[in-house]
Amino acid sequence: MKLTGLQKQVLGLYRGFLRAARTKGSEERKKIESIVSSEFRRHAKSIERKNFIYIEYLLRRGTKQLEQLKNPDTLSLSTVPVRHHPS
Amino acid sequence: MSTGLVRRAISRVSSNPASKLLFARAHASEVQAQQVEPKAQDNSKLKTFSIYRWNPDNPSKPELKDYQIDLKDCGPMVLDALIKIKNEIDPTLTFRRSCREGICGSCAMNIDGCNGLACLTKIESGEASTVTPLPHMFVIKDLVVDMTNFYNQYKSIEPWLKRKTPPPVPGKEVPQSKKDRAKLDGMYECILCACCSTSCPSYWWNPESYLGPAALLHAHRWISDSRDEYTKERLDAINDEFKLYRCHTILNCARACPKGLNPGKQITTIKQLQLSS
Amino acid sequence: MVITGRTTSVKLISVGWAKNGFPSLRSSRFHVSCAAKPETVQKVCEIVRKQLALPPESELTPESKFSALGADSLDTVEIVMGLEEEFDISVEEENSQNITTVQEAADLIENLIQKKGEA
Repeated sequence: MKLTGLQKQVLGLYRGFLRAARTKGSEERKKIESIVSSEFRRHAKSIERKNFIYIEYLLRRGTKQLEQLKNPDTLSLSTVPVRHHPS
Repeated sequence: MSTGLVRRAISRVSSNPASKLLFARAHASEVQAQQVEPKAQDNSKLKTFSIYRWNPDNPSKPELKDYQIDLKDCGPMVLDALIKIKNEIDPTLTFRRSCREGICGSCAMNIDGCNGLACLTKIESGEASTVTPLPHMFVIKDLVVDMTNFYNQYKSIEPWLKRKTPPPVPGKEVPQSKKDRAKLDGMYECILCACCSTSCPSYWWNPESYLGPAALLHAHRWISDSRDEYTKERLDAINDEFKLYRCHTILNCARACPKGLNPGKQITTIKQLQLSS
Repeated sequence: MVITGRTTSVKLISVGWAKNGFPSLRSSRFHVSCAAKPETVQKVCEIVRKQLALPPESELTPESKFSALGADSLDTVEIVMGLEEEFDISVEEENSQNITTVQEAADLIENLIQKKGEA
């Protein structure tokens, strides 16, 4: 299967998150891996393949979040459930 | 009492533009003023704002959405209109704003094709205006753009005082003559709103490798500072085909700057210093 | 003798890589000279089983494609990350995206371990 440039970027980001998770404590690492994995899989299912604008937006947001996670002062990661109101 | 104030204000509306503002303020702050609203509507002045909308949580294409407001019931600046729209028509409209007096640089956006601060840009008298985010910037939501790269470029020029020797009096500040201080005029005023950089075609094509007018203006601000002792190193650090020399003196930056500065001129001075150093 | 022979051929191949990209890995010459040790293949199989949560009775051969085992591209990233930790190596991004079978993974790992030994 040949991957597009955008797909490669997404997988690269995923790898980056898993790499960053390795640098944290073992308890946190599991938590981070589970959050990141479910986040990527959720988006992979829900986003239309050709919605490039949105995918690129998420890539930039993810890259920023990864930068924060890489900081040694960042110990863990957590999520807050958000209810979406249809507008 | 309050109706009296409003009436006085109304009577002045047609003659003096400054009193329009007074009228709007009095109207907005007085409860009883609502009673005279039907009268005010008679000479209402409607204007349509087409505003760029894109919400990442609702993955569809960006669009221009029209909002019609009565200018008679609104402050004079574009930011007043945006706040009015957010308060009264559509609370989901998202934009950055803070000081509303041109000192924080938050509300930079593109208004009718020109970059500027919404708080310093008067609402034009025409029937319609278009408001979009700063051009060639990644949009986070509606009029809010991603400034990460812009701020990183500013950071890269090391915008702080760097010394090789201790201050004359240990533990105290480094003094500067009035004449040396005056050399920073035209640079220290920059509020980093990004109007200049995002109006620059060179910056559009090389947003990462070219530092852009704002960062270069700040680079020159520290190069020119009499107290800074890293002048040579600072010049060397930006003596680069892309970082500095992508400036082709198009001077959109000077046109866009809401503070009336001329980044293009500062960049030219840096280029001259590179030749003489 | 075998080891020296392998070293030289790998050096030749690595020149080819830069020119032709990864597919040269699958050339018969490389395959013959650099077939991975059985224990490496075994270890890779274990990790793939664990990562994809395959039932113990399911069949897994060196030629099995990850995608045929139900792995998506994110699983593949996880497998490669798991291999990196197990073998204490670092797989470059562009190489990792070309790994589709156990055999390919095992070959690349041996190659990397060897390079690490040379360095």
